[in-house]
Amino acid sequence: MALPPHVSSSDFASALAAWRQAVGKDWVFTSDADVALYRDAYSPYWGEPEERLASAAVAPASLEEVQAVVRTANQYRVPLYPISTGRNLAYGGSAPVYSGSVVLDLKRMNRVLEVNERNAYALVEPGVSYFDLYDHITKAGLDVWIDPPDPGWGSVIGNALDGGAGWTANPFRDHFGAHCGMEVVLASGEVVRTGMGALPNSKSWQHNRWGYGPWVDGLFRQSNFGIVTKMGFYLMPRPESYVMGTATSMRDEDIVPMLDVLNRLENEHVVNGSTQIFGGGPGGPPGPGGAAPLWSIQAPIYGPEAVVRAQIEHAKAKFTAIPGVKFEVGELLRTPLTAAALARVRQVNFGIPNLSTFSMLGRSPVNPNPDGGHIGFSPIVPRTGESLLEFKRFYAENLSKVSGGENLGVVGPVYMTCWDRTLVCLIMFPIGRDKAKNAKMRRAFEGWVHLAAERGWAEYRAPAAFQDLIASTYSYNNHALLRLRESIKDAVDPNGILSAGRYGVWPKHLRKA
Amino acid sequence: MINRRELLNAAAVLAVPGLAGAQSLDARAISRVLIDERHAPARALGLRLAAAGRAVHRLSAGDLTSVWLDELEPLWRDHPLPLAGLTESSALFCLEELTLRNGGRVVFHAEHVEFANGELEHAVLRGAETYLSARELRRAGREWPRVLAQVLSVYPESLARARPGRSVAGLAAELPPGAQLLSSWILAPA
Repeated sequence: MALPPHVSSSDFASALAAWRQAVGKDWVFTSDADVALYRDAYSPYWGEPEERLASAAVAPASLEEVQAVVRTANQYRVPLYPISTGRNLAYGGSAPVYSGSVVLDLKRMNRVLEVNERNAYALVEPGVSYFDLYDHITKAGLDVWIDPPDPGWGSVIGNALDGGAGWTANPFRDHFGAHCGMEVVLASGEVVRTGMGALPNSKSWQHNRWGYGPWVDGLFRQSNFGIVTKMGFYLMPRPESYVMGTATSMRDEDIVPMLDVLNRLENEHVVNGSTQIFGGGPGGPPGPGGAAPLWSIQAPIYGPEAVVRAQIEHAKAKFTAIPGVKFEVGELLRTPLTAAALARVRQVNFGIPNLSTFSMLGRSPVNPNPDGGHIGFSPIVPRTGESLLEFKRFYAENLSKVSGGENLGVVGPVYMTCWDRTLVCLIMFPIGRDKAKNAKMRRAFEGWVHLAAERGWAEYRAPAAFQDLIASTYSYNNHALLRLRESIKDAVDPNGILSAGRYGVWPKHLRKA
Repeated sequence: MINRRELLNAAAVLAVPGLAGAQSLDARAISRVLIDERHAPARALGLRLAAAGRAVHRLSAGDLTSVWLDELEPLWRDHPLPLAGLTESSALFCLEELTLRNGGRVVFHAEHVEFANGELEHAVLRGAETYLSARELRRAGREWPRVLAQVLSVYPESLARARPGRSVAGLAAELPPGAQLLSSWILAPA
């Protein structure tokens, strides 16, 4: 049996005994065979000494059990690593950042506590997946949508806390941004409710997200300051209809005015769907007439039919005012979708979680070496056409050098606009079974991080193995932001038992000098 | 608990040279199998196992969603039972992840590659000592789905007791252009 670092065998034995008392012996996992399940399926260090591994796992079923586990961990200084469903693929999965931590598996806390159709919100526990919530809503016949990521098997809370996003309409796509209220267990075992939840007998916990005084919810996003045991989310009332328009151009420089038009349409809330930008060439959708355009922008709109029709015509007028830019309006779809329509749409765009992304990424003649395991470098770039073109040049100029002159199968850039007012340029690195190749991928990843940081571009969400590196790029004023976070960490978790190292925040006793 | 009919069925499909190690009084019949019907070997396997009375679930476009939600999850949730399959690796990866909550483990895993020139290669990554070796599959030539069908029909308890960790299904294997890889597997509750 592995020991957590800096924990004596007698202390660990005492902690395990206390946990068995608190959650039941069936839910404390110490055998190699059981703990081996808590591995990162896409670890860039798979099978190597540096692979992050858990020492044990404990799975509570209730808030009270979480509190008991945390108090015991604090007593014996055992590092914990909470996971929800553990499906944070490409970002560490169910494995801890600090190797040897005990995984606190919250999968058993899987209740959908409330879905309120009238005010369009839900309150869930961390073990609730997008499939679970969708199932609950469907069975109850409620006329609201969820906003699933792709794939839809992950935790609603986990995805939001890690900064994930989905594929329907703003403001629901930004999952953390669409939340309202949390319940959090602190390292001391104390329970806090945020926003209006801090008011006993509050009936507006999932209505107003701010409550009173300094807003603390952001402290728990991509962090290790507490364990979220409940979280509220705004839901989208089912929109009456959907239409997507596609703007295309055959000229590289047109992306500048095209993105300006898109930004204005989104900021005006005319276009509210998950827009996509394709950089032309192979892989992009064909334009009118069948020729592959250099740039395509897909602009979906959700809403009442009369409004949507007016909005798409407005979008068309704005895009086609750019000389040479064409705009094609797709089929208007009314919801609920017919079976025939369901069979041909991308279902996540309609709030339906699924696993189709895995089959799309499978091996095929056009994809002979599928990207099964992967990690991604996804820096935030200013949302202008000039910046997009700059990134495109930057990628082309540096690809060979960063890849050591080899074709590593790196894929990019993929331009993502699923967050409001944000442009992310994603580069994907396949991770496989070849350790030597994985090492090259890691070096390439690090190379891109450094080069991008020189231009003021940095990652929005990182795989566990690179969280320290990414944190180091946010270095303004001698890493003042990190120092602020460390101060908070020292205050709320003085023994450093929660998710040590997550997003680069280490407890005092583990910080490098 | 295995019943007499299942035991006799299991014994019938075990009459293949080289599978003596799997003949065990604790063998259980695997009643359900998943195939990716885009691939000829999987279709062949499905036909054999359907003829032997197994329930065959089919992936038509490689997307596991409806098969999992509508067919497999309701079964696995209430009474997890061993499930076998011949699919692309992504389907195995998804199922392994989805069944973890109910103690699912990949107790047998083999990979079968057909290269662009028609050559075949097999590797048994898990369960070779109990079930089947790559040599036996190679000897079968193009008939390898037949040999596999016999293996995927039974499930010794001893393998579940080993409680293996995660498989490598999520990590792509490097192959030359034109090669196609399929995974055969058994998922069983620990």
